[in-house]
Amino acid sequence: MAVRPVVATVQLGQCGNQLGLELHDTLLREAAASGDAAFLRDTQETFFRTTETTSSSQGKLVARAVLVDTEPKVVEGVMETARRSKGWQYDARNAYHQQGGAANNWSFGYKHLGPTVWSNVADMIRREFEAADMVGGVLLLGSLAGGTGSGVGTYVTEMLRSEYRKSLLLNGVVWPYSTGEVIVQNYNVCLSLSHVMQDTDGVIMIENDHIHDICTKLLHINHVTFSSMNSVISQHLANILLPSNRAVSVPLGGVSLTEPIRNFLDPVAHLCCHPSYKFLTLKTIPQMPSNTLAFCSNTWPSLLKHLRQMLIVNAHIDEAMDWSVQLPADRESGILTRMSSRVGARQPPTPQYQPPHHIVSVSNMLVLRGGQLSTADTVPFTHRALYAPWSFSPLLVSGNHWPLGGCDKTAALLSNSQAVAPSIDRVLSKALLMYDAKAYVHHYATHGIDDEAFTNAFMALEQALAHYKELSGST
Amino acid sequence: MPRELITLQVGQCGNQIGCKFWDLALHEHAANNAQATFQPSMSTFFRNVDAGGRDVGMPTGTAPIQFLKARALLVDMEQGVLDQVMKGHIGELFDGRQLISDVSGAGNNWARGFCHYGPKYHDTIMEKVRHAVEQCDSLQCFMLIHSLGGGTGSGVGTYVLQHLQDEFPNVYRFVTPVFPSEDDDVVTSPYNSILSLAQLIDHADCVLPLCNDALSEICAKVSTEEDKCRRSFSASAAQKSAGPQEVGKPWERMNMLAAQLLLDLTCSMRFEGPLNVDLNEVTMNMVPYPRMHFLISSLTGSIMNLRDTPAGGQPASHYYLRNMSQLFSDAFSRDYQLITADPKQDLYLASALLLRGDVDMADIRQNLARVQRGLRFVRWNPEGWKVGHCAVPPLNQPRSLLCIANNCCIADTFTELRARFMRLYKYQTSVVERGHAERR
Repeated sequence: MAVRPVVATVQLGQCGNQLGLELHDTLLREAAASGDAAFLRDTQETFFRTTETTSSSQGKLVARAVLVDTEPKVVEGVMETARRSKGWQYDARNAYHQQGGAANNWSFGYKHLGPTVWSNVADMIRREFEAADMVGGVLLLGSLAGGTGSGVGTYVTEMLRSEYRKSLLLNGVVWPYSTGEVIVQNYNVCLSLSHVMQDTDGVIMIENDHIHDICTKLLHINHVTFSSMNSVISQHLANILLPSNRAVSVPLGGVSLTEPIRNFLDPVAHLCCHPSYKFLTLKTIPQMPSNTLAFCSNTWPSLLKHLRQMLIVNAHIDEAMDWSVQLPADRESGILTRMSSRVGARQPPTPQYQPPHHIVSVSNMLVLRGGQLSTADTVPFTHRALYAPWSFSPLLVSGNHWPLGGCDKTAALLSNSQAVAPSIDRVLSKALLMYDAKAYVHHYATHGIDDEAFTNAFMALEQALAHYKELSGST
Repeated sequence: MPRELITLQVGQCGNQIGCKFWDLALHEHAANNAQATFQPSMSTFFRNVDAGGRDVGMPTGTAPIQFLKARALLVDMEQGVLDQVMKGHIGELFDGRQLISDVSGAGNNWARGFCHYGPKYHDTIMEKVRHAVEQCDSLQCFMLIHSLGGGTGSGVGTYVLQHLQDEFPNVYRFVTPVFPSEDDDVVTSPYNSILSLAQLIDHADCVLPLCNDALSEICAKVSTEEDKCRRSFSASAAQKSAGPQEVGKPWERMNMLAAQLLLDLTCSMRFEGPLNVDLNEVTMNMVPYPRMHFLISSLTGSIMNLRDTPAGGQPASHYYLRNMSQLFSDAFSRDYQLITADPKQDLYLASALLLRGDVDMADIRQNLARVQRGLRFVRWNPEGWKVGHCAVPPLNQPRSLLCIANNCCIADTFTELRARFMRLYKYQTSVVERGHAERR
């Protein structure tokens, strides 16, 4: 039995901890629901470990996770919930919390609390890695709006990078509602992203607005709570985090599963192959209310067609999409050979910049879970116009036969594309507007984030945004 | 273990509000603590001590309550109010070491409080503050409750505030001052309030002013509404309301409003919820520039049981429930502001909504979108909302909304206070000049 690389999760702040609890539970539940012992074992080995069976107690399943917060209530609540009601638990030694909270202040979290947190958390992570035969990487979960997930999370990311240069780091960040959860959220988002993108391998952006829409419009949940949103986010992440096999498209359409993807974070290395492009978005299809799941019978062609259009128009739900936006019809099949012939060929610059009609990607990962994969034709996802000309083998397809979430077929698209540009643009504009008036900056200056630090952060994020916008100019 | 908060009640008004606050706090915690164990949530305001006055271990939620002591300091320069407090039913919450008093009072003179009693009792007060701080594990905030119109609350209160900043610069200072009304019976209240305000601008982190006129109007309005609802609910209810019409004196109901404000402000520090908001987050989000920290508050939902003391009577929830839309509408109406102001007519710099109890995110977002259309926000903060949600509801009500706003209408209040000051100052100057002229 081959050794699986393990993934340690660092749950930061209220959002990170509540989401992490739900995520671990979902991973285990979905793997168990598959009925396949090897699938379950692989999942358990990646995200959990088993304590030794002693004469007095059974071996227990313990999450490979470290819980961090700057106030005590959430961490204690999450550990207690896992211990009482789930079939697994957290290691009591892996929880660290302070008392005072981070005050929604990124600079307080980064400069003041970060070092103290790291000095405690470093040992916990080292212990998790030493308990494993092979280290895959670290998944950090937290929100960007507050002070802990954003400020402390940024510091921990930087420290992890310097301590574990060869391990993969993946940040799962939750964006707040654009209509406001925290007034200084735009500052916190800009400061976090501009710092984190230098050290991490990839940042998966999860937006509360999108998840809320999925809950209300597709899942028809009447009373949307953070708990219901965390369930949805966990389902999405489980789609890409659960074990899968690398797949290749066969010439006449359909997908053939070849060897297993050893370290699930390796696809991140494929997706974020260029240091200027590290922001990822996740789209999943279908999203159906639980009471209609039993009656659904989707086909792969229909699902993939909708998912492709979601990518093209940057829709987060497959409802009321703009189907008039199409890719140029003159370039069709034979994509892979054409791409290799274009590498190195110099194209003259386009004389006049045309605003893009469709989203251009650096690379994509498509994960298909369910039966009848021979009917899944993924070739349309390799269309040349979808990608920047310098993208090398931009599509990675993986999957397995076990369905997810009670639905017979699901497809997830983890995308490194211009889909991130509108959100970053919006947040940057609002932050600059507030910074122009120098509002709230004294709170940040108290802890060492001065004008220069703000300016550098804005510039770095603007640069990243410009890179993404340029993708369409280069096709 | 959650963060602690030390209350300083200074002067007659401060101590009367403070006592109502402790009464309400005890009832709130009792309602959420059937086993009478010392819950972690209680350690924000209380200590669990043995007969010798020593702290009994850490609050794990399983230790039984032995004796509760409030984390508070009671300061007054005359003894009448403090004696009443100690003889009253919450007297056991305090021991003699928490009281600082004198005999003659400050004579409604800010200078007597700030320049005479302040320095006189400086060492005593600061030593007792230090003692209270040492009993805290992770102190987050000082809460100062006082009025600005008199001498002790204004003078001694602001003197202590200045020294709290010097000695504990990292601990937040929240102040709940009661502004004097137009027809205040203290002649020198304009001087006292302006002199205090200067201190509050320099030394407080956050100020949540209250105004007697506004508080009494809210009490009157709510009483009338509850009467109507009781009568329309059932005939038997009408008979019940034919009994004692008013519970407590008007001042008691007004003090209860002020006390409820403090409880709702701190509920997220004490109880769990999907979206916690600590006091340091309130300061961070509501204060865009250091000196602009005067916040207008409005309370809806939790004030609907004003006519019933928590100890007895039918809870008002039987008669008068407000749903989410009504709560949101009330919160931005001038009728429910705790100072005389109309924030809807002026510019918002920032706003915080602290919800308690049975509410869901979709309702919050819908109502937020609806209400926002009628409000003016400053151009650099067009969606300036901070939202918090605590799962534990207030006493006798399923939900409540505390809205705190940094709004430019506070400038009108300052203008009014300044105008009163100038009227008195010009009159007094002219009297003095006339005196000089007559003597020549």
